[in-house]
Amino acid sequence: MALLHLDGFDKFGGINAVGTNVVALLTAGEWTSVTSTSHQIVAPLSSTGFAVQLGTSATMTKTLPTTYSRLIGGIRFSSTLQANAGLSFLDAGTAQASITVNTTGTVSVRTGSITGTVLGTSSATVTANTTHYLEWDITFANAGLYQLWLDGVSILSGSGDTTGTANSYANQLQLAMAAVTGAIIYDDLYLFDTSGSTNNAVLTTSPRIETQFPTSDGAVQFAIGASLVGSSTSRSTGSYNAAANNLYVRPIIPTANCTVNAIGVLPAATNASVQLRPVLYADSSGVPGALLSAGSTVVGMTSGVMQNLPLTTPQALVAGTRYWLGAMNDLALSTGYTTQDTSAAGRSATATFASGAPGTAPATTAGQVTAVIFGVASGVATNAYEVSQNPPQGTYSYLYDATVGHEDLYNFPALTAAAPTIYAAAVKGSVAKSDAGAKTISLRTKSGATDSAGSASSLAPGTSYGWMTSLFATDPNTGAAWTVAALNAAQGGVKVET
Amino acid sequence: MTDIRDAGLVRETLLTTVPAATASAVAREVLLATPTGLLVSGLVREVLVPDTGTGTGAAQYAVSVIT
Repeated sequence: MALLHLDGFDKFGGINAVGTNVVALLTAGEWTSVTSTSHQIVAPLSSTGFAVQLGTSATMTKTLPTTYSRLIGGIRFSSTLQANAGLSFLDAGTAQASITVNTTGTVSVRTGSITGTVLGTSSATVTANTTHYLEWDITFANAGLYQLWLDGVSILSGSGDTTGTANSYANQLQLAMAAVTGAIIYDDLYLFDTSGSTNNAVLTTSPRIETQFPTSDGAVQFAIGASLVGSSTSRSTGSYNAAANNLYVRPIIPTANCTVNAIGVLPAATNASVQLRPVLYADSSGVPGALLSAGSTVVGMTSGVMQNLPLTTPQALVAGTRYWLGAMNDLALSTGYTTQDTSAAGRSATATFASGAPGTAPATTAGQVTAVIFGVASGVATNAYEVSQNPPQGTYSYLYDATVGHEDLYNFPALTAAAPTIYAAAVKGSVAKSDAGAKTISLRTKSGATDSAGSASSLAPGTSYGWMTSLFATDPNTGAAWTVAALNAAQGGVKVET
Repeated sequence: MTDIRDAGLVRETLLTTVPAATASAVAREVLLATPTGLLVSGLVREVLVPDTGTGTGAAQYAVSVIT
């Protein structure tokens, strides 16, 4: 295998400043461990998706499939240059060698960690907060060879002690930021070794990774376990704090027809006696209008525990139409509902709880926090909808199947720009098993008539959702490099193996 | 008028214990078909391609300083 790993940092949800939540998303299968929680998901450094930002003392480490005496790779970065930051190659937790973008804008290769002894420093420099593509080819040895490229141009080569342990190999890749104020943003990571006939040398084309989500079903056999409209993920700190006898709503535009059975709310504090009532309003020229459905009173809420507020009459929603979902409360909530993002699209009004849900929404005040409030739904027509949420919604949106041989295949969008070369593709699934029994899956690509499991024919998920990967360095239908037409036409999915 | 409560009137009754089966709680446990097996919550395809110069990254290469 030559291609070891690639990550576009696009599947961890939208822009997210809640470090603990970002860390949870990163370490759900894709990255092995982190230090600190000063991680954020930020705007991309290339044309699609998102990027990850590491703040003071932050690291994120991925354990590789085995040990490697030589590693080749690349990553897009933008540094504030307030501190040395970069990446390290580890042997079971001990740094063998590192590459740092220094405060002066130069790039160094070091023995050991990002604070280790400098083996060589580029004369080329970067300026603060500019985007560049760094690539490396490094051998781990007491006199190990190394070479760096910046934006496709070789900037440094030499040899030195690229080991920190007695072993001449690495089995972990770590992105790291020094314990100093500052930040570095990463995007578009690839990692190769020297084996195989493709993807075994630096690319020097400043490559990018385009992450695609399923758009429609191909052939599906899995059953839908749960659906939601909106998102259960908090990506911004703070909370919506409600006065007594308050009505709060936030807009949601479904991307699929569905029926909402309940309103989900993520409380930011515990209040055992507050009375809550779900409400769902139609849109009227951009503000909440007629009441579509409401529910009976639910008493109490617990911080961080999703509160389910059932609707008395389930409500059908139409894709592309704006609705207002929310809740009424009787007691004041000095810390109420967890913030979803920074859009401040919520609206609120005074409404006496004991009087029930107003048949027509009263005049509401705009600019309220957008809270984590979503629709617990059913009746979604496609399986692709359930697995295309970003980030994955776990128990709120998933498919299930236990029949060996059953398979779901989905269609993907065309690449956003015609690529002269496709180096590799990976199909990744956020997968779990329902109990302790042995279960395995494969992640598939069907190109032409060839349905392939790629590099991993049997993946064993745990009982918590985690990303699993199968690599497709070439088109399984031809055994040759992917063409744009073939990739755009290829389906991807998941199959129950055992 | 005499209030009967003030007279301390009580009635004590000796009851027979009836031997019989008793139940302090009744539960019904139902075996339901629940989602089992493999659960899939997300699926993506990541594609590694050259930067064609349309990305924000490419746009900034022009200002990079390489000596």
